[in-house]
Amino acid sequence: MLGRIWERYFIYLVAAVMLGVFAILTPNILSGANIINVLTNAATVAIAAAGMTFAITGGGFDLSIGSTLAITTCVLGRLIPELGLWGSFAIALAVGTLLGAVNGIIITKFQIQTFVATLSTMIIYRGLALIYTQGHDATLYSYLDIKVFTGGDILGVPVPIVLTACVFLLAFAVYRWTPFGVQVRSIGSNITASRVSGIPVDRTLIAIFVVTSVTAVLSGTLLTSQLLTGNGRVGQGFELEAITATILGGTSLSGGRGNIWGTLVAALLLTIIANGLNLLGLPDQYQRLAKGLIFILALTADSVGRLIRERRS
Amino acid sequence: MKLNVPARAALLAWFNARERGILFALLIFWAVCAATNPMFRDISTYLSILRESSFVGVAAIGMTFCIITGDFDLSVGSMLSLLGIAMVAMVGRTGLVPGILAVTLLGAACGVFNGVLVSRLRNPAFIATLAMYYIYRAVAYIVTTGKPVEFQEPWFTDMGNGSVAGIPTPFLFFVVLVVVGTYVLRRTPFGRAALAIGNSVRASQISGVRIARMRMLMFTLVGAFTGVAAMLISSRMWSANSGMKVGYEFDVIAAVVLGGTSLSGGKGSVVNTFVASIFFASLNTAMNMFHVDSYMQRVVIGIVLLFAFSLTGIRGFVAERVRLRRERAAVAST
Repeated sequence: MLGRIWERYFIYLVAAVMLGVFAILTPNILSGANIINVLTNAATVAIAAAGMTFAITGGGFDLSIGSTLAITTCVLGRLIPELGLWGSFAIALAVGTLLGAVNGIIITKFQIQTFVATLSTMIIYRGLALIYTQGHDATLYSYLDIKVFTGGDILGVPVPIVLTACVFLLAFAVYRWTPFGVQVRSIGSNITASRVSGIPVDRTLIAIFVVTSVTAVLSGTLLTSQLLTGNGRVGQGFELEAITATILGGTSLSGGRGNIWGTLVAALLLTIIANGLNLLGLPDQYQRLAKGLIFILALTADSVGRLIRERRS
Repeated sequence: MKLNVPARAALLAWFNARERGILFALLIFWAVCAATNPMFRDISTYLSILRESSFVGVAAIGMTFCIITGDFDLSVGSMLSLLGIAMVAMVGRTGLVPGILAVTLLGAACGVFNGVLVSRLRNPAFIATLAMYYIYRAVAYIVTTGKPVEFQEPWFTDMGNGSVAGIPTPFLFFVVLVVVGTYVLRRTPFGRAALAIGNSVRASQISGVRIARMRMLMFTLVGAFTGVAAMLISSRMWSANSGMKVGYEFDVIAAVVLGGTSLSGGKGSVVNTFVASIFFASLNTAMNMFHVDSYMQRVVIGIVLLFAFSLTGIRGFVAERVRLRRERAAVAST
């Protein structure tokens, strides 16, 4: 029991400690403006990680979301000048749904492991993004409508924060209370048993990959709004960021056990570290080092949790 | 030539084996290219393909062992960057052969580190090597402050760019390592233990294989082979930097999996990894020769991968259909 709790809440502890450390080193980190800044930056990874939590809980991965993100920025970058913001956003969502469905269909109909299937589509989708823009930037400097996604606010709360909150509340509700959530967990724990007990495994898997793609489209929209540019090269390694946040948050890699709020906290933690190191004036690469070290720390914590559990039993 | 019966059977079996799929794919691909493009009738094209195949292939040999035991290593791209920097930085002082030995040992040391995280601390390989994926490249950046390191003496750059008796030097390394790797996998207790672990951890544990030690050795192998690959690539580029070869781990894993090594472990062959590396290099070269748009090239590579991965699934699907039809026919006839 103690081991379980330790594993589940370890990340909250790390986040609190890191926040404390940075608060001492750089008091600026707790200023109101900076907190909003952190939350806004966290939104991009957090939203995609919410989708990834479903994929990993279902026992798979989606490596293609970085490329889906790139396609989203390209679609928005090229279409907004012609169709306006909301039309383009709708098309981006439709494209995301389609790409996710293709992933799901490949995985279920050809029976390929999710890792290799989405590895292939990761390469294909990025190629499509680059073909669509011919490798150029599609800039939106004179179409500032899209700024609403990162610059706007609803009743004084910045839009990215509202969006993240909505996505996570929805994700939690779906995960906990809907048949879909139950089916995802069931498939992640034992796919054969799920199939035998009449769960529509294929349909659920396809739905999971649609979910990861759609969250990647939302993240891509936030990114486009920040950069005001669509480019086929953005988001390389983004899939690993989202997987990092999900796993650090306590979602089990072997499937069946997810932790939606843990994912959110881990995404915030990663952003706090990036932001803190930034305020300390250290180059970006130190964030990678910190990320890796936190990972090792979390792994060790996991071993400790396991040890406690084994000792008890 | 008249063969006796067992020899003929063996030859037939050799051709029929599913494992030869990638070899036939390569030969057919070469034949089609040679028929449609005169440059593919020139030996120099093939030599350049063999050279290019070595840079991914050498690391893929180590990865084959690792994937056979059911693990895999996401950190090879970052490790490659760190080892390449180490190679270029030290080769001027140590000389060539000690430098190569040193970078191989350094790679093995990185591999031991990965191996400890996975086998001793019992963490999933995916997470542990993902952590190291961040760390190695960050260390590479911090020691170089992001600047490239260079070393341009011909005795070093010839390792990647030169040829011996017409054969590209990196390919010589590649072939020797493939032969050694195949021997180790097929003919030694070590190799058989690796295959056994991939098939069933429990069964091999019961029969006395020391699992933790074996898995650790696999990661050490990946590290050592990545060291050799880092030497070849940094020599080819005359330099190394902390941003080089992002995504290399996926190239390596793709070559291994295209060679038929199963990601779930227990099945695989170094020779097929070798052939698959050459296949990828051929595909890249052919697309350049046919002026395929460089962005389109990615799409093609992805589709080839998907096709290769789905072969097992498609085969199962067809077999199932045939079986169903036969059963239905049998029912109808009674």
